[in-house]
Amino acid sequence: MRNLLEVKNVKKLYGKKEAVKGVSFEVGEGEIFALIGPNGAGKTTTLRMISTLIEINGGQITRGGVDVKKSPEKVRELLTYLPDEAGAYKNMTGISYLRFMASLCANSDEEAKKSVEYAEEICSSLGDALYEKIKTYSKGMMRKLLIARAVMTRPKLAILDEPTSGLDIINGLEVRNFIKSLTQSGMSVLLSSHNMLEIDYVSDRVGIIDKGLLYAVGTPKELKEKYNAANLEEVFVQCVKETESKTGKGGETA
Amino acid sequence: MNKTRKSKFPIIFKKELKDLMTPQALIPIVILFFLFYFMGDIIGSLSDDHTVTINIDEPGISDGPPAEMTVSANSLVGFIDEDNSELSNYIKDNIRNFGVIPVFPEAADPETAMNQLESYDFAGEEVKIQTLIVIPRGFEENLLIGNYASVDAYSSIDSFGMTSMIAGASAHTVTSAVNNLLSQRLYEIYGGDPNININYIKFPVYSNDFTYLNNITQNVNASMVLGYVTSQTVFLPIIIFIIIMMSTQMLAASIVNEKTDKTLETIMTTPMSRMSVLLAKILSAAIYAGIYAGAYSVSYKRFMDSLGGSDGNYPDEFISSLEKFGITFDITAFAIIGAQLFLSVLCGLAISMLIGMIIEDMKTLQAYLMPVMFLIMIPYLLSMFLDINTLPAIAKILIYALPFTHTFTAATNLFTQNYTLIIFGIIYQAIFVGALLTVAVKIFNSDKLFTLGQIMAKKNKGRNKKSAFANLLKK
Ligand SMILES: Nc1ncnc2c1ncn2[C@@H]1O[C@H](COP(=O)(O)OP(=O)(O)O)[C@@H](O)[C@H]1O
Ligand SMILES: [Mg+2]
Repeated sequence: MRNLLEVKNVKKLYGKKEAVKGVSFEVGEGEIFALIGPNGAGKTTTLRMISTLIEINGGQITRGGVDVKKSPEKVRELLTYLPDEAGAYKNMTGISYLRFMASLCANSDEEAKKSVEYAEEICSSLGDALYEKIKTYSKGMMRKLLIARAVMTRPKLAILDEPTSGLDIINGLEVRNFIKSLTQSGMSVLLSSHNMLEIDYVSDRVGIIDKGLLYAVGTPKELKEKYNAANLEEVFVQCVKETESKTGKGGETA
Repeated sequence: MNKTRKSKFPIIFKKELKDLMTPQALIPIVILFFLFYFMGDIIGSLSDDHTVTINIDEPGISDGPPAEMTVSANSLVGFIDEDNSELSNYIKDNIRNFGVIPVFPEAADPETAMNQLESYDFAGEEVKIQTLIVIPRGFEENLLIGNYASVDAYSSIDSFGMTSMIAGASAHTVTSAVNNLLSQRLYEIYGGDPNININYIKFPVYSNDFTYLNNITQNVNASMVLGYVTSQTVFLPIIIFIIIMMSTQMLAASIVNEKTDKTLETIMTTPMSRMSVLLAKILSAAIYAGIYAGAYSVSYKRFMDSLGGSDGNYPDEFISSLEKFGITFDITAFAIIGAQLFLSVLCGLAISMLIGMIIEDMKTLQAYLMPVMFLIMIPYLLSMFLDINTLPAIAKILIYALPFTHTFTAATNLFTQNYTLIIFGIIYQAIFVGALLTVAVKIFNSDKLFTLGQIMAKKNKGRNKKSAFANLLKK
């Protein structure tokens, strides 16, 4: 599998506080990679750096060996980003929001139209609500709309920050199944979650992150075997313990 | 790449415009428009039965003041005696009894005399005397054959604040003092004559009013001029205030809303330049303010025309005198006030943008907008109640340091032909706007757009001993 992008020893400082302390991983083409870790681990910060929203204070992100810092606008043509707990313009209807975002991203009307058509397909479960104002949407509806927005342009990489957080079981399952289905079309997905159990089924590979450090990277199966754990939550607990006893690094508070 | 980036702008610009042109935003414009459009008619009809009739019936205060007293500059009045008769000298010698201190400028020509009186050396102190009475040749002659006589009363207008009203009334006071004096004197002469008209004995002298303004004199009453200017400018500051406040609040709210909904982040990860996003926001807010100002101007112009135009309540000669003074709202005046209003709006927009960037939620936004509101309110209130140009130098500098002040004083400065201040104001405002926008653009193009707010919030929460402000300073 070819790499879509490489994250190499990336760091982020907020003032004096080091929120991300050197994180490295790769995302392969057509792969679903999940960053899992508790709140405040540095997931959002990492995803924001990759999506060029914030600057990197150390290390680099490369695509095919070329630093993406040099042409952030080019990078943004390859990816879409769904922020954690995002909303949309409340006075727009769902469909007009999709159209607006499609025309922002597309290079031609044709392209935009195609994107909207695809999004409508994804949002078919919303039914007529797609033509109603976004302020009337439930959380589940909103999330579906936003995920449809994030993938409708068929980006090389969809970055989804906590795409299932706050959703009920049914909606959460629906979203996870949808994300899983995306790779069939060759799209890569980089997502994050603080819910480690639900990620097992969705992701091809996971990175375990806490306190700005990446503890382990691998397929869920590999990790569970390595740490002799029944699920990813146990893996997390094990590897945090292990790293702390080895280096004492994880215990440091920022 | 470049081509696609350019073509994005109309899309987001349209969205931004639509965002602002909501019913809530447009209703105040419509209300304002109709308010001024019809208010002219209403006030016009009210002022019909409000016509000024000259009626001087004050009882004489014949008890003379003590020989020595401190006098306010307002009681100093210039006199030119062209008649040089017994009666005219009687007036000059006795008018002190009515609290009027006569002074005698060197110039014989009233306009030059008014100029001299503007900075008159009175007992070693430089004072500004705003009233001049000219007793014309033939004054005594007229009176002694039983005719009414006239004096020419000159009042200078140097400002359009509320204090200038007092100066405007002063000529009237002097004329009534002259009447009181002569009334006594003529009574002594004609006392028992049954043929003499009692009104003539009571009010033998009427005044022929002149106004001195911007170095010229016109044969119009100063109170009327001030009344006219006030009627035209009284609503100006409140409109300026509303326009600046509205656009400022709207832009800040729009940015903060986009931050809480994370739509800003979403848009900024599309292949579109941040500058387009920012430009669309500023431009649509400025256009909103422009429409607001335009609607106001049209309705307000109509309002003023209905008060003072050819079909209004003022006679044509009066209006043409005002035009000679340069105190009518002509196209230039509108353009200058409009330009200064636009600069103030831009200034407000730049400030609100900065605030929008460091604020994370609407509640905090209100708290941060309060000080800005005061920055706008201070010059607003001051300009309504006094002429800032008459304040002590330090106060003047402080108040003019607020960029908004220049817009509030634009009309007054125009009417007093204070062009240096207007030009300086425009340059100052432009520099101010430029600097603020540069900072705003810098922040918008950097991480800080997403991180500053949280850093501020944390600093405010933690360590309550040291204030957030102190922390900022330390940085
Ligand atoms: N804008 C910011 N300013 C300062 N600190 C921040 C900011 N964003 C996040 N942090 C801090 O950085 C750390 C990582 O945050 P984040 O990446 O949001 O974690 P996660 O998404 O894993 O919950 C946290 O301790 C958080 O408090
Ligand atoms: Mg997060």
